[in-house]
Amino acid sequence: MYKRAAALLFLPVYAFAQAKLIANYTIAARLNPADKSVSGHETLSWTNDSAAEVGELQFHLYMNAFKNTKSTFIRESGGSLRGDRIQKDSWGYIDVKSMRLAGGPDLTRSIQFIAPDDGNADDRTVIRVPLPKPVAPGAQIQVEIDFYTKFPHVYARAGYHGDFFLGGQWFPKAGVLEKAGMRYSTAPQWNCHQYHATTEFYADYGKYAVDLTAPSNFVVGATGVEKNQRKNSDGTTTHSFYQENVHDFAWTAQPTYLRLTRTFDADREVGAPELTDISRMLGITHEDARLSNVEMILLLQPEHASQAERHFRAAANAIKYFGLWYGRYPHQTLTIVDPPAGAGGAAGMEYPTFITAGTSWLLGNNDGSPEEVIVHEFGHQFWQGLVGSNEFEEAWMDEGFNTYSTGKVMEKAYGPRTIPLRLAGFPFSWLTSLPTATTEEVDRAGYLVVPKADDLWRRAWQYRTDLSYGINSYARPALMMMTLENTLGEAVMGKLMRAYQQKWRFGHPAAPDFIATVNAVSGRDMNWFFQQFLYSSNTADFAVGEVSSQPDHTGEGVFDEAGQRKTVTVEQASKIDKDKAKAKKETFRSKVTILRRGEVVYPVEIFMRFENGETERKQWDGQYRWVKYEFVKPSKLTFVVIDPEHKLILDTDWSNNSHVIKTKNATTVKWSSSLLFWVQQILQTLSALA
Amino acid sequence: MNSIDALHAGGRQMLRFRKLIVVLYFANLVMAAAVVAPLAMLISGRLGHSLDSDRLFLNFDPSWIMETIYSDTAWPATAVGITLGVAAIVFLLMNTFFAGGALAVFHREDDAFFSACARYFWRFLRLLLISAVFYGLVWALNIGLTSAIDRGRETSMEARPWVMLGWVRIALLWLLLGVVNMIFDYSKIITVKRQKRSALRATILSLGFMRRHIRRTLAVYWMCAGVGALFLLAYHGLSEVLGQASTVAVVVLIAIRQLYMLTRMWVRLWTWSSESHVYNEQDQPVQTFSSTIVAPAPPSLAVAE
Repeated sequence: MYKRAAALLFLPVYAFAQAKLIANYTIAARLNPADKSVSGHETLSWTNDSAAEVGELQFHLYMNAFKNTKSTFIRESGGSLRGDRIQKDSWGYIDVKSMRLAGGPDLTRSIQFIAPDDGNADDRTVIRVPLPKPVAPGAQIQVEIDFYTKFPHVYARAGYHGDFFLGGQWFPKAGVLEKAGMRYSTAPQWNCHQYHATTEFYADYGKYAVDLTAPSNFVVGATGVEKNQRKNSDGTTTHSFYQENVHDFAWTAQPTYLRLTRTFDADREVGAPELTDISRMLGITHEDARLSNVEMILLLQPEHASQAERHFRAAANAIKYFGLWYGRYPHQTLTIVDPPAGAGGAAGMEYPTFITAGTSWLLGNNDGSPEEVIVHEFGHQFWQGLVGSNEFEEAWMDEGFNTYSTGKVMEKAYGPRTIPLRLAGFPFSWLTSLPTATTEEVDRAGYLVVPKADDLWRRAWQYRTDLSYGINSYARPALMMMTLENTLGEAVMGKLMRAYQQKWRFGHPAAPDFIATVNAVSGRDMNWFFQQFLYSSNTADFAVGEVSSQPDHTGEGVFDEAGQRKTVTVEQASKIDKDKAKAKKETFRSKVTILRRGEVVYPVEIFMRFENGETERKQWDGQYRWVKYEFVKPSKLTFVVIDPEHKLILDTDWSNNSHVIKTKNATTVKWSSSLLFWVQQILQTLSALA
Repeated sequence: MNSIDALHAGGRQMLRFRKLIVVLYFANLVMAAAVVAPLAMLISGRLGHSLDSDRLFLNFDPSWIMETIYSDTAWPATAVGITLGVAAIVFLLMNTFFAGGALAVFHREDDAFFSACARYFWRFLRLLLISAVFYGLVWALNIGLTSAIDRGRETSMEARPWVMLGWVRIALLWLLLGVVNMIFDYSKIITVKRQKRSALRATILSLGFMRRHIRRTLAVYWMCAGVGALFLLAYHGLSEVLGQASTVAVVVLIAIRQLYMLTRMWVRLWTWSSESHVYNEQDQPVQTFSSTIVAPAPPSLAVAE
């Protein structure tokens, strides 16, 4: 059944190659550096894609999250995000000066603020605008909006710092009208969430034509292709950007940016053998696997000039591997922004064809900075940009998919990285060799901080804590996806991820859509997997219980063998055993108990090795709480290990997954002696006070 | 006696007091072992019979720490923290105790070490408390500078100047900590040499002495610190070359680390000894003259007959 479904699934692979352009924007905006603001005029052409009449519009006014301390964003975040704090008296807001239907009545007075998520009457980040006449199914309306956006000092993604500007969530943006059958909707309804500290992306695809006027000394970068630059008589320049098939538009401006460009040359980056390999693995043609050229535009801080090539290389690696695995990046440009020192809040962000990176003046040796952030933010072009998941309601399908994909790209392109330890901006890796860690190990460490705080599948603002949001949106889903890959195999996982990306490119899928793809492509019912790992907070822990391996003594007593009764005395049995030992024909009875300590049921492999090199492999379905194995072999058991390949990455304790008969002291000695030395050092340093 | 002569004299004296190094070393080792023992038992308990031991031997996996904290095993973080704190205090007191003996035998080599330890302990303890005020002031200055640099960094568009200022701050911190350390080294030396009972008086005398001989005292202290830094570099180089990828390398590194700890003890004692020589030579008691006026004998009034 699933195989047939898989065949059907591939039919609409390119059905969404061109997005349905529902919300199209033409914006003319002017940057006012003196008062850190933008004044603009926006024309929104919006199409009612549902089968019902629509009597109102809903918009995000996200800059109002920074208007006062009563907004939901600041209540949730406490005025700090990712280590940056809101600056005193630096408020941001957006005023809709006027709104009217093109050639129609003024709507400004009918604007109402709503708070669909938490009922916070003080939150001003979402508005509803009742229309004088409903929009008929399939009909399009044009809304003319004059707006004024005042930027806050940047601490949470958008704003200003000195003469640096990052314009994200800066214009009135329409919510998504979810029609019946789309995601979880049974009838047409607006999906327009408030701006939360943890989440901000869900919008319809469209085309953006934006004219941004800034003083001529500013270097400007934005979503899409810069079609034109026009010098104005007042010392300003108007930059005209255009982009289709995207659901947001962001820009940046700063006079001192170094603007550098490189071309991602698809034919040079991806050789024929690589194309062949990927085509074979995914079962696609060379032509489908082939990538497109991309113009990479880097807006770099002057003090990071020497890092330009590392930025470009990271972006090229991301374009290459994401493209090969999930389908080519369809846009012509990628703009990478390096925010200045003091504007760290703007770093590590994703907007369509436009990402912000983040680096340091001094870089460590192979510690993955700034590469990992570039790869991750580029990854959002696929998971959120091209597949338009609802980040508010299912952050794991955005951040989680992307963390999983980022890890794979980083492992492929860079291998394990050193732990990024720094003191006063000085990288430790310059002085000493540090341990290395894979993305998987780092994610697993993060997951184990609070593995049971929440179910993985929850709305982003409804996790118990921000930490739980982070773990359940990034690390845990990435580990779940790795576990899924280990369960299904790399090739099947590759096929299903590509199928999912292609099927839902420019669409708005939900969790059941992904699960359906998994089931269809793998040909297996994997609902049990998602039920346990996605829709619950259960944890997995398999452990080796009792283990013994003893000589199998000759039996004593009365035995009936071949119709004859035979009595074996204690002395006889002992002699037989001794003779066997002398002749080296002893046998050993080895007993192993495997325990399922966690709630998660998962099939595992159990591997045992004996002293003579003999091995045993057993598959256990993990259903009951324990299973026992017993062997009589000519030699003793050396070790037993559950899940030797660590397929179940979500196992909360790997140390108890194995039992070795002979004690292993090397690691204990290594670590303990290191600890001893460091404590000696601390004490001796302290003794200088005496 | 110039600085180099003082260092030579200190070095020669150290050759006669090798046992002192061993005493300090074992005190350090025992205290550290007390802190580490529960952790070693924990590691052994979790990895002693686990195949993960092989994987973790080659490269540390941060997720192991988290799984250890998360697992049913009682993670002795609080216990270790308390033990480390108690060990630090006990070790500090122990060193305060030994310092009296060490400086006494550096001053008079025939002095009994342990009785000198006891003799000066309370006086040195008072010095320790006074020094805490000085160290506190240095730390407060450091916090102030850190905060000023952070404020500057927040308003700047560049990281470079602020990172560099941060390094200057750290250098200044170390310099000031060294100076305070030196002040109280000489306070102790003065306490021993002049048999001062007042810790405050010894501190004031130390400040006066250092003011009069600033170049010499600084030179001796920082040359000793420089030698200590060379030992550190040598240790670091060796440990980097060795790595810990094999059992043999681990064992060799244990030996090198303990040897390095011995050098740290030696440098500490050598510094004290050299400083004692500087003090002995530079602060010879000033010749005093009796203020009593001896009246001349009255002239004889006897008339010769």
